[in-house]
Amino acid sequence: MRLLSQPERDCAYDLVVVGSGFSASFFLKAYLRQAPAGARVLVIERGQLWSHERKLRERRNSPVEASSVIRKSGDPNKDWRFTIGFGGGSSCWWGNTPRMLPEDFRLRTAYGVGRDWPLSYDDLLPYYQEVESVMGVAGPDDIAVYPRPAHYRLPPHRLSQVQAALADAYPDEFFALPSARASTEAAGRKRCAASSSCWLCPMDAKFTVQNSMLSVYQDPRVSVLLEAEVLALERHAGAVRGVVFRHAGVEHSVRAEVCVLAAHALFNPAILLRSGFSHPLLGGNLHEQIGVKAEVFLDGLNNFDGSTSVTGVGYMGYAGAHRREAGACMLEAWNIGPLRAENGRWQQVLHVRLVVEDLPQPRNRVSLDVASSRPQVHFGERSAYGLAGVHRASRMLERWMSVLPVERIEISDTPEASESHIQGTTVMGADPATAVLDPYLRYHGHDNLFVLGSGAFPSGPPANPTLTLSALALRAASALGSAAPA
Amino acid sequence: MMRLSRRGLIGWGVSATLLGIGPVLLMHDRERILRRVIAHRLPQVSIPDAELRHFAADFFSQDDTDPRKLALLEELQPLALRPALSARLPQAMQQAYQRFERRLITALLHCTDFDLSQRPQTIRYVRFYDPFGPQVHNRFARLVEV
Repeated sequence: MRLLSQPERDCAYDLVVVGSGFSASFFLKAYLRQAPAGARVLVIERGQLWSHERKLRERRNSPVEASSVIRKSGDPNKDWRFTIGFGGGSSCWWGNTPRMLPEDFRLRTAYGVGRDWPLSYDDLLPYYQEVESVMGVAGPDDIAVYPRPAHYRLPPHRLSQVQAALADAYPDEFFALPSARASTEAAGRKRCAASSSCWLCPMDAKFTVQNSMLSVYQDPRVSVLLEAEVLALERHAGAVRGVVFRHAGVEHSVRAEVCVLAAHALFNPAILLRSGFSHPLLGGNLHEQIGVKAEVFLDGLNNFDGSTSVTGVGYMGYAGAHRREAGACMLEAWNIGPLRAENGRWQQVLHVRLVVEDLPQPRNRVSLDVASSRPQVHFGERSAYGLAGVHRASRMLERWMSVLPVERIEISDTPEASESHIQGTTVMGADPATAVLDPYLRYHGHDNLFVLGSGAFPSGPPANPTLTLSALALRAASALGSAAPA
Repeated sequence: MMRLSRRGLIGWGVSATLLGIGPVLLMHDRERILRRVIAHRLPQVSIPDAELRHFAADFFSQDDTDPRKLALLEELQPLALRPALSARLPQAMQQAYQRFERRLITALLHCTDFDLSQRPQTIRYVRFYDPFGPQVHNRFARLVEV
């Protein structure tokens, strides 16, 4: 990797990428496929590059505390989790990679709520497949809830006994969760050991940019500058001309033919706001799913004998007419967590997480803290639609679990502080009046500025967003030329 | 040579004594709460004192229970161990105790050579279950075989 110790002086680049997480890496991968041999690319990453061994030694992915780089207001219990460091969110994610359902892309058309996406499931299909292949996703080939013509690279993870019983009862709606945690040793990654610490995998079994996409950054056309914080973009006549950043306490700027912001949904809008962009929706509609934990205490049936952390996924509460009034729910079935204390019944409990769709609320937003210019992240409310979804899923859980020998069910009465998904602050759409980005994630009216990541999501279906945002990044790069998926 | 007043000398002595035996007292209490849980939940199991001390030290180094909360749980424990009395405790306290108990049993089952049977046995502390260790072994998981 060509790591720059200092910014190059008076340098012009064909492409400047801000960030090095999922979106940046997949965009770069597609870009480099079509770029000329002499292309010059600069990646500006705010964080450090730590080896996996160092992360394990220090028990953290980065020296930067997420809470130290943003300001929060609104709900004091709301938390936003991310990693500032090379590889971005790929260091701390858990590796769950379900696809969205075709109907997730047309929420307004199908159910009369929220917004439609400006693209369809079929538009994203080839990009989904490429991302799954690169990530080495482990999953079953007979998923009924969404079309999937190709095979997963790795066999599915093993379900626990209780989860196998759910799969028998709901053959089309409960199955092994597709995940980028290796089920078998493959592609240089070890097999997942179900260690329960996926945010820093001791085996390096889950996909990360560092263990699976480093070759993108080792391309001779690419230079990487670490510990450089992007302050703003330079604009002229409807185009971005350069990027201003701070490195080692000194302000620099570089010229850029094309600029890609991939600093996630809190920092992308902050950079745009500092650069004078002023679309009324910029920074607004910050949202993520609502997660609620529950425990299903069982009589005589065991859990915890699956092969990874989150082994099963249930779609019993996802699709259907209820989405007119209440958010969809995806049920995560966990294979880790506290055992029972009763003698001999230690494994007779299933930990589940109800992951419920929330509708973006305009008042939840990222703005700029005047004094520090840091992102001011305000989150005050969840939608009535999302809360209705939580209520419905909590009520339905007993029915869904009725196929098991259930002793009792305990549902948390407060949502989790975070689903670690940050979405919606640079919404995409065909109409510049109602969307910040176009369907290829270019800032409307600025053809050489891409703004990647889940900030573009017009709605927040329950499915984990990483696979989709990575596929969107590949598709965005195709707007530059002939970057058709391999 | 520095001269100490009588009051200073007594104060120094008391401080030194507290500093010296405080952790021992605290450790003693912490071991007692573990021992009671194990006796209640796993009556078929016995653990030699040295093994329990070693396990307790490792367990409390990783468990995030506030020491004050732990002291409260220890006070509650005689009630919590009796179902009829436990039901009279405030729900938050019952839940806090149950969560602690489950964390402890979970750790114990992962860290010892207990064979998970009902057979009376003396168990040995093997090593603490470190989810970040490269040799991590989740004894309940069945990994995918090719």
